[in-house]
Amino acid sequence: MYARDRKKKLRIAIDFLISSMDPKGGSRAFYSRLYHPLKGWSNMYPETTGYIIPTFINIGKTFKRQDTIDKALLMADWLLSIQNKDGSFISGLYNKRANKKSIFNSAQIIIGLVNAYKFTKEEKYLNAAINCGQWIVGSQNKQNGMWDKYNYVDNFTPSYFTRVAWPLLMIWEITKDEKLKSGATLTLDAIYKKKLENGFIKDSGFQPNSIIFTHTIAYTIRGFYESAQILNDKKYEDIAVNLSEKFLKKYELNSFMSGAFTESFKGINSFECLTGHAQLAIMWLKIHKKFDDLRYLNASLKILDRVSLLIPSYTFIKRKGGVPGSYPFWGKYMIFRQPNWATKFFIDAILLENESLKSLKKSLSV
Amino acid sequence: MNLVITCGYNQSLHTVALINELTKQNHKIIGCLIVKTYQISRFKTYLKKFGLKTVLEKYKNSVLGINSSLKKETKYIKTYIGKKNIASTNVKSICTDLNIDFQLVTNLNSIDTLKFLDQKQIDLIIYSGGGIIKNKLIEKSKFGVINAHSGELPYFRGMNVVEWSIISKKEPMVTVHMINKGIDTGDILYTKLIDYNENDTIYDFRGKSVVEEIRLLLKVLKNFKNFYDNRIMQNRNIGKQFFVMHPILVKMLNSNLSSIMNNHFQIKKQKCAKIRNDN
Repeated sequence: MYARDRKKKLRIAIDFLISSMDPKGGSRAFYSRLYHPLKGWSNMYPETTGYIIPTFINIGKTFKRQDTIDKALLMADWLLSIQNKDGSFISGLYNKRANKKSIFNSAQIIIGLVNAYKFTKEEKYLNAAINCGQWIVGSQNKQNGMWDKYNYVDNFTPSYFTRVAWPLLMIWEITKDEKLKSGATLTLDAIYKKKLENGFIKDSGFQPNSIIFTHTIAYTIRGFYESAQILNDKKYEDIAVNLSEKFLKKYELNSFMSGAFTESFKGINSFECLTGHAQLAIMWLKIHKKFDDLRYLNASLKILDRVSLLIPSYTFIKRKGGVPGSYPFWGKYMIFRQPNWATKFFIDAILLENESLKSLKKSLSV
Repeated sequence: MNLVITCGYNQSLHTVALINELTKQNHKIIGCLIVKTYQISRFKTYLKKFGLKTVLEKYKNSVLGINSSLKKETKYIKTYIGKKNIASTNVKSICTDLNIDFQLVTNLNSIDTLKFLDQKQIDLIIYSGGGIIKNKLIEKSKFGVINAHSGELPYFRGMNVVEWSIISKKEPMVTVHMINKGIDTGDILYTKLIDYNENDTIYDFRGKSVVEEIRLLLKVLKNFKNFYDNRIMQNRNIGKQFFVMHPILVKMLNSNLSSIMNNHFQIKKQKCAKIRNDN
């Protein structure tokens, strides 16, 4: 029953993500009959198109599907076609006249480009990633490791910019360009200093002094964790693991994960951020894999049950297979929308979950 | 010693057995707190924690007495009760039979509970279920609250620790300990392995651990002062807190139980070696 349901939800989630693709090559940001009553889909979103690339490559490798590999590369090529001359990418949804650049969104695109390079070994993807990385580091305020412009809110660099450091380190891993590494560690150290006494990382939300969605909390944690793996740095790993454990305990003790938190760890219980659920599951699964701590696999199985349950199995108002941003659908995060990234993170999590269960099965039999 | 015993629900057979055996050992039970079984808030919590399927199984087995998959687990306590010729089938009835003052409460930390305890001179509270307890309750007795936990402390704290022990390839144990404000972090009085045999399933382990908990509590309470004076403080830096195990992990555990026991359990290995030597 469990395996059958998971397989079905994974299959329809993959179909949803494929259907999010525009023929031009970008993935459309979200599906919503409220925002787009006629066609349902929004415009393409360069940022998440970027980090959907590794998801499609992974699906292709896991299930031997050439179609998703082709789509991943189509996405990467589309991103190359819209890259600015200085290496940057635009913020927000794609439109030909858009010219506002974004540090964070550009960094997420690097994740896709580096993965496309690793898969194809085609230099064009690596070069595009390098240009983008250099633009990001070139725009950095070297005094504080943050960015004064090209942010979602002016003069505010949120702590989830650990996820800007991580893509810079992905390029450094290949090119050994020390400027990228020092730019990344400057940011990581600056954000590390924002750790509060209770373990929470200040400024992890979209805006200063706002409630903090689990989506951006998980972004912050993941940025630290992945950077730590590349740098083999215990300090960054510890902060990521400790925070992950705090959220795991909160979830297990309450049998519920709030959609957002305040910096004092107070949960906002009026909604669940399903996107954040899937992202936390990814973190827990990664920690399980590294430390062989089954509690993390256990919690991820439960939270993914929850997300799985709330994925629509047929299209009516919501589109079949798409993870809603929030539950209830009118919850505060991505209200009335099914963002492509929520489904992307769900698929990533399920693929990791399958790996973890396989390795557990093997270890129990010996 | 004046004892008070807690209980998670009226149909709790291990509480019935414990009360009976403590009385036989001439302990003085001066009160019993029974948490009400039928409460919407409680049902909701259980539903969230265990899921509908498990809650229905528990209800069918414990309350309605209908056959369910949990029957395999409860057969051990039922056999124990049968052997001890205990006629009572619920906590209220055994309290009435033995003239023990009991109180139905919404939870163990409620004002009603504290009022009930205030009327008594209590030496020790025996925890036999009823949810997390707070300091206010612990402070109501001279020595505090004693509990038998179905895992080896300090390594396996929290819930479903029989399963967590086995999946971690450790032989399951029962620990008698004092309760403090943490989860299973109080001082340790006694630890013992659960007896098992080759064909045991996870339900057998769970069922046996319940009976072992009763036996160990009786053993410790027989000579409580000695155990209490020699109690060992837990090192909180070792061990982990575990939570309800996901059904898929339980299923994997069950299907790999014999290979875990064969490859990792010392007693099993020793038994096998003995059989080989005997042959």
